[in-house]
Amino acid sequence: MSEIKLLSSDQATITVEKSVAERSILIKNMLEDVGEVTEAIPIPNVNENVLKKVIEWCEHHKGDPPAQADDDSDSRKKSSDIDEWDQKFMQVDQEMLFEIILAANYLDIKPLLDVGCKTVANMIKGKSPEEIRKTFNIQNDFTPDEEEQIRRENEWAEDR
Amino acid sequence: MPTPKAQAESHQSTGRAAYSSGNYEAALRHFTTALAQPNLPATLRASILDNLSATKEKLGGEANLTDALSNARAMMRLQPAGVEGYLRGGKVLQLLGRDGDAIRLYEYGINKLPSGGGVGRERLEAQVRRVRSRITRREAMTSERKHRDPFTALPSEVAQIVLLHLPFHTLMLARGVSRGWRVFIESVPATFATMDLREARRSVGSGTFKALVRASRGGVRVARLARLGSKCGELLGYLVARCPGLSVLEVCRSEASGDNAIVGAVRDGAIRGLRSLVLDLVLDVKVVFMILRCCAAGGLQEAIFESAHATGMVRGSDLLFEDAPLRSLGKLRIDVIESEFHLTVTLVNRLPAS
Repeated sequence: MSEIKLLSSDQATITVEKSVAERSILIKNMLEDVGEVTEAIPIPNVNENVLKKVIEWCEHHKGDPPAQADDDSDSRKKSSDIDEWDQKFMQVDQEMLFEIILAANYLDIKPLLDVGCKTVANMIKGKSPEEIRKTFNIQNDFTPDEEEQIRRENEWAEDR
Repeated sequence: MPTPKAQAESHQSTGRAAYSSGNYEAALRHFTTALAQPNLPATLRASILDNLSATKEKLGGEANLTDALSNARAMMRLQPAGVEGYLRGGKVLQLLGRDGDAIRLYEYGINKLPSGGGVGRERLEAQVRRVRSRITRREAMTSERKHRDPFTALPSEVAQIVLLHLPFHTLMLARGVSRGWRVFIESVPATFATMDLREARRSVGSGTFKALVRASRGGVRVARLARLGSKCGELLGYLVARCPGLSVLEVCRSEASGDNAIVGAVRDGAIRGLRSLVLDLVLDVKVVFMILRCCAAGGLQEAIFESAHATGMVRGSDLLFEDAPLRSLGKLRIDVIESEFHLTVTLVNRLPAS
């Protein structure tokens, strides 16, 4: 079992099993390009806390089969199907959630990126615009007229 | 020999002078000496404690603040119905960063005041309001940091993945969150690629439907329509005329029956490129055949008619018209509902390849 070292943006060195780190396509490609490395691989966009969290996810999912290609790109994906461990894993504050998503995007870990995006989608689903604004602390910047127009256009979709 | 009370008063006034000129060390010494005098009346002790506490507060640092707090507690014990001790204690708690405790202390004080409470009560209540509003402001700032708009926090290509996980009606509702959300959601082609009205909570007015089609900028590829009401046919025509890329069309039974406009839209070749057609509308079987004839030539692969209405004899062989090559059709189902006894007949499940 070979190990490699990663260097976070805040200069922390984290040792991780090579096969775990290779869940990241970015790291995998890098290792393939350079061959054996002894010094830590810099991950300049991800701080230690987030990197540890991402590695925790990769360790839990190291046995997963490789992601299948997206064949039905035009049908919408279901977001309710997040497995239980992932749901727990994603129970973090919004700042951390977005950091994890950004890291997954940067490190090219598609399944983690998907789980993160699904989690955000689930925070939007079933909510009224006002509830969504509260969830994400968003200002309503519509004029009353615009708001009335949107309300009329959306009547068919509103739960009430 | 002056009385202890006179001595205390003398030290107190010297201490106050030192305090005013900013000499807190000297003030501390005088107040401490004043307080050490025996048998002082409660009012005087409380007043000296107040001064002492204020001085410790000025000296600052956690140890001094903790001392200032015990001085304030001593004041409260001496004069439970007096407002000064609570005000003093509350102020020190605020400086110690214990806003919640400060509010609890003020409220405790308000209860201890004699009924009515007068000016003292107002002073305590004013403090409660002040601290509460500061807590609210601070929470707002924290939440601003902790709660962030995902569509500004995430790059566009990632935010688009979030949208992919949302059903059509949620996306439409979410356009009402802010201008930024509206522009972003409408700008992503995938938003309108599948227009699914099956989850409509109430009927979709024709103005609303047209607005949706316009917002899609012709980008609807899969349309699953429902609850369009009596104008279903006309709206379908509107949709197919504006969305050249439409490849899957599904119309669930609505209040409208066998609508000429649908037929018109189909016959006019507006949905030539259609891959899949599912109509749950009451249509005459002859109309069904005509629709098939038009669409099959355009590459239709799957067709399901849920509620065809037959009069007289219907034979599967009627479908095999010589001028309509149905070879492209992989799947065809026509459920014929006869007007009286809803008999469902699957005419053809799979047509022969030739």
